[in-house]
Amino acid sequence: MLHDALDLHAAESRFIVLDPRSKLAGLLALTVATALLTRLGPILASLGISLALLAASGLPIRHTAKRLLYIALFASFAFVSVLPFGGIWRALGTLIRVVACGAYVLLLSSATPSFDLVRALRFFRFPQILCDMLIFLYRYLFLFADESERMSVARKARGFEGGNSLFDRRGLGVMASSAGAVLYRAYHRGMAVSRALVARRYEGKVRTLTRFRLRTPDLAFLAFAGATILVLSVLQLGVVG
Amino acid sequence: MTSISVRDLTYRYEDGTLALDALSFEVSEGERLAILGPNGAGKSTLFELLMGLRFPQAGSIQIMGQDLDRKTAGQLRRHMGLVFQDPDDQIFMPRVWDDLAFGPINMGLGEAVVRERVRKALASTGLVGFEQRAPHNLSRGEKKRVAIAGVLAMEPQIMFLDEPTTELDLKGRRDLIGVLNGLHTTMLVATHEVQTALEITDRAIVIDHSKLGEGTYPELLSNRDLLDRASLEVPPIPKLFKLLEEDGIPLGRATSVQEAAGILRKALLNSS
Repeated sequence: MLHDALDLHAAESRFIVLDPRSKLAGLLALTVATALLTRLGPILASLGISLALLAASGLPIRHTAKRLLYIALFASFAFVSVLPFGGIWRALGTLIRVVACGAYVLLLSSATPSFDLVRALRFFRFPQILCDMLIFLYRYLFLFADESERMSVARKARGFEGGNSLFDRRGLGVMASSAGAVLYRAYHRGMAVSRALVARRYEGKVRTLTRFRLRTPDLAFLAFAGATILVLSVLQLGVVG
Repeated sequence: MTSISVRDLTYRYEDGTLALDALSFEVSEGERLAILGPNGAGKSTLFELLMGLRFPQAGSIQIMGQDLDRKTAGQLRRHMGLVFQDPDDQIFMPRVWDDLAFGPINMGLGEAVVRERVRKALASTGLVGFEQRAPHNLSRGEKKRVAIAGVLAMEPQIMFLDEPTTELDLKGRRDLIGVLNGLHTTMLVATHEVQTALEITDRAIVIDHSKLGEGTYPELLSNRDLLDRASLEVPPIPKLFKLLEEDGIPLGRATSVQEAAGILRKALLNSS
């Protein structure tokens, strides 16, 4: 199920004890700092730090490795695009930089429940409307995934095995009809969710009483992120080495 | 005092399909009324109309003496709570505690009041210990209880329950009926299960787009034609007593196992 996949490992992570705001601030700052690096040395250092953080987070290796592979595949497009006019080292730097940035974001998204992440965004003055849209997206993704799963089960239960080849015209037709039906059903369930929200006096703003608290581990993490950015900047500017 | 007054309520869906046709009934304060009818009879739509989530093309609804319309719906919803048929439609927040607090927070209640209401709702639905659970990972029965608790936390004066026992196993059903029977609000229960209606409510109206009948259970259950028209089945206990009556053994009317046990005990003691 999608909701399992989205937030499944957040509670298992050692980073769950951190306030979502400190995770967001620290990891986003590291991501931006890494994106601004141009020298290979500090880029490699940042990659090492991001992977070390991922390893220290306690997230399942299979989970992180699979997602890192996707990020690396995506980064390889950047590598290929830069290679012809930037040369091998520049292309390699781009590739590693994208993977490092992706690793920080992966850590942030895997070690923080999605809902808390949106609330942390709101704390940093991310527009309310966009935060609410993200919460709704989070909720409706489940609906969409549930409907897709039901349709898939229904197809298989009636012996449908096609749709895997572009030459299977009947199979593709069935898949297209299913996609339409999934959208239609998800829309109707979405309307029901909307009515249920109004019935509980929802008036355009998702609010909660759960409060975030900054504690010593958060301050330590923020200090670590700050120090890392400082070291990366020093390396980038060539003050050392 | 009349809690709900419905007059000639008519509603058509956007595609023109008739959902409700000139439906009228009244519900007194504190009363428990079942809306009995087959699937597709318009029961869920009726609840959405009563909650002011849809608005009728004809007819009127009064909630606690006040006309329900687009202007007053928001205010009147403060006094009402709807438990949807599918709890997945209703549960919104990522943790049980947050979902229960969702309604009271929206009502603008203070933090202390919200916490107290959530605590009470958790206790009355047997959900203590579920506070930090993700609703998606709960069983169907547990989700139903979360949905009911979410509405209970809003402390509505009128509660609408749409097919509350559908898809529940025997234990889930029994627990839920226990919870509902412990509540003291005006309650409307939409169901196609006569047995559920019998166990929760005092009387019923039978609908299939329009009203087919209305009354207490002894009246309704003796009207075979009405039940047939609404595709409703007489539960085993009343059916047994009816058969005995037809065989010349009139024992009276029983609607529940407890009532039946009482009547049979008395009859057996008298005969011995």
